[in-house]
Amino acid sequence: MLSTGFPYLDEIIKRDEIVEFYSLDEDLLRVFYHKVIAISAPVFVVVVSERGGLDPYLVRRFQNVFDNHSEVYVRRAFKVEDVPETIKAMGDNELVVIDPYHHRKDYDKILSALRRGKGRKFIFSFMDREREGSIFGLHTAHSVIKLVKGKRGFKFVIVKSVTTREIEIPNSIWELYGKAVDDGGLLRYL
Amino acid sequence: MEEYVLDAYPTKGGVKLLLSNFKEKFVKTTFPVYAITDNPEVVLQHPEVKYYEEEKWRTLEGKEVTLYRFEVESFNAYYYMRKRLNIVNEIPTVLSQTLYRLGIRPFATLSGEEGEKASYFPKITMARVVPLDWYGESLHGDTFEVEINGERKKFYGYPEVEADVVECLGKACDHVKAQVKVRMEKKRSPVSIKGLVEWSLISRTPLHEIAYATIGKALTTNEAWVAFKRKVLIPKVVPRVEKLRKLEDIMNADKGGLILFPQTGCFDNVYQVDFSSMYPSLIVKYNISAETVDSCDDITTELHSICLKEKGIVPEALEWLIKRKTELKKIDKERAEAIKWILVASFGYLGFRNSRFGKIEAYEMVTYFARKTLRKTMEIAEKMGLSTLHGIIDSLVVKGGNVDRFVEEVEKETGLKLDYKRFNWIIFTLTRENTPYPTRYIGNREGEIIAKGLIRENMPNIVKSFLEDSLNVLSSTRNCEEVRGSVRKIRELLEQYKRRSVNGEPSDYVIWVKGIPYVRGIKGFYKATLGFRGKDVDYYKRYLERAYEDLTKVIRC
Repeated sequence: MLSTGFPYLDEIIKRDEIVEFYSLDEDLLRVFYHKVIAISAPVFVVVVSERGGLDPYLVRRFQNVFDNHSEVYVRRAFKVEDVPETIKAMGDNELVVIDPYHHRKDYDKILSALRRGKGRKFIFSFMDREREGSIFGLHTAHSVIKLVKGKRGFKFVIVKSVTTREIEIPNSIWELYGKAVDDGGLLRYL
Repeated sequence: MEEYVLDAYPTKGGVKLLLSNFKEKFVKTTFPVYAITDNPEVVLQHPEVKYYEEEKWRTLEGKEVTLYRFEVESFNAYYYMRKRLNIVNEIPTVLSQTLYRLGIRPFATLSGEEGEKASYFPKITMARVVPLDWYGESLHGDTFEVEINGERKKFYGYPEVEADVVECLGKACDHVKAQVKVRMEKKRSPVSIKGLVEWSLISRTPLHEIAYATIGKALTTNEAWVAFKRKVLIPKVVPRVEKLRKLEDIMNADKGGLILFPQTGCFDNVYQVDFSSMYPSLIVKYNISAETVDSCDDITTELHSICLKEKGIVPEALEWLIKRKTELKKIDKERAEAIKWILVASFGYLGFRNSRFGKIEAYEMVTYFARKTLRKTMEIAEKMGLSTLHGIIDSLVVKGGNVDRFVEEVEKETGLKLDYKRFNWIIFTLTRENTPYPTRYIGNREGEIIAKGLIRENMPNIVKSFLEDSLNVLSSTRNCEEVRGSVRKIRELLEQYKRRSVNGEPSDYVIWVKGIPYVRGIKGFYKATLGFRGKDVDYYKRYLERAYEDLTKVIRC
């Protein structure tokens, strides 16, 4: 089952089928989706990148940290024409899609493929979704969450959500690595 | 004497051929344009489309496809159709296909069908004209370096050059008379003009279509000819879906060649054993191509399977190139080098996203077999009493034992060709973090110094010159003992160079970074193209000292 590893965030997005996470901080988003993949295993992953994109050793480390050793199934799409076909090939499984708009084109075909599958989807995008990309994408996602890195930690900014207004959820960077215990603070009462 | 076809251009109603000795010829013809369409009749409404024919082709996966070959009068019609129809088979280019039909081969005579044999090369004049400035090659220099058919001359004014094919830079191009000019500033490939002629010859592509292309185009064209002759359709893009893989599968498969940490130190009497064209040879040996990997189980491995029922397109194209390179090595090094570049790119291109005939699984299979082959070679070495000092992808450095027998045994076991060279001594060194440095070594190969990872392109000319002279000192040493004894001589050389750094030639201070010449001045770096405006002597002295320390660290290792 897809999970971010942050219970209050999972609560907010629990009914959303397509959730998009984006950040201008590549390192933060990269660590975050590796954690999400590790926690969500067994999970299907589509990596869109010319090279790199997914570090299997980092996923494995996160799996050891969170003691989840279930399978991670991966397909890579290297060029833009591969992306819709690869997403379609994943069928109706719950899916993590890394940087589907990497090539900055063919948004319509990619979104059509994303909407076709019946399973839940987490999308991780390195695009600044407030300034670039397709408006189709933003309409397709039921929730859009921005990750912003601060001096001491990072925060989730709920940019779009069916269940909540725009709020910011601050976190310690250690929580990404499962090293801090969080009682939820005031967010418990959300 | 019959003329050679140097280049060809499409014109309305035919092809204009540029021939040697400044002649031209017009050949009346139409151009074939292949398209997938449901309504070919509509296309005929274009006034320059003459007629069409239906043909049966097949995809890479073996599925039959109906194609329409439209015969068009000019390239205008082709470009018009390109925007509106699903055009396929554009590699080899439409012009190359037209010439092929007419029996015309670039750089062959009009009547002959030469070109297949490695021994054939056209008797044409080839020249290279480059303007020189005080810092080296430049677009606007006033001195010219001219090389005609291998003979080099310098001109202090505009040279009078007349040749069939000329490679020229900047303003030199305006002052040469040539049937075909190739502008060096637009070139994207690392081969010489002779190499480009070789590429044009083997890929049956007019020179102007390949002169500014990357190595990938030369390779793809060669592969595409194999597909074209087999009537395998070549689409514009090939969407590929990778097979579903577990995380461990990617961990196991997504690796490069095998690189060992070398044993550090200086070693006397060692042998470097190299596989010749290892990756292309493995592609041919195991029939690795996009359409053969994972299509049946003739060869099964822990990664993927390979089908041997039909020879793959990539192996067939490469087999011919490997053979040609081996033959050319004995005849012409420059042409062999041009083929070598294609072979070098052949493996990487298998995994390149836009490759027409590759896929990631095929790429992984090559590195898999390469790692396996090198490991097998190390095992054989151990069995035969040779110790392995270093191994890097396709070469091993071994010591002791009978190398002739070892090479024979490896060739027998792996089915690949090997080459070996004796080194009087070789040094493997450490990095600054004190770990073995796999990509850096210095060796004396029977009087010739081979230094890897020591002289960088972006070093100041004076430092490069110092390192080259230092290596010259080492070239006279016969064993490790003498190498260690040569540090004093190199120290003397350093002192000479430090003096030279105070009042050297302006060109000594030039540093080339990504094709732009810089000089380090008192206020920092400036472009040499602005003229010589002084130098920071301390910077160059410190650089020389660092280079000396680096080199002596290697020697004392």
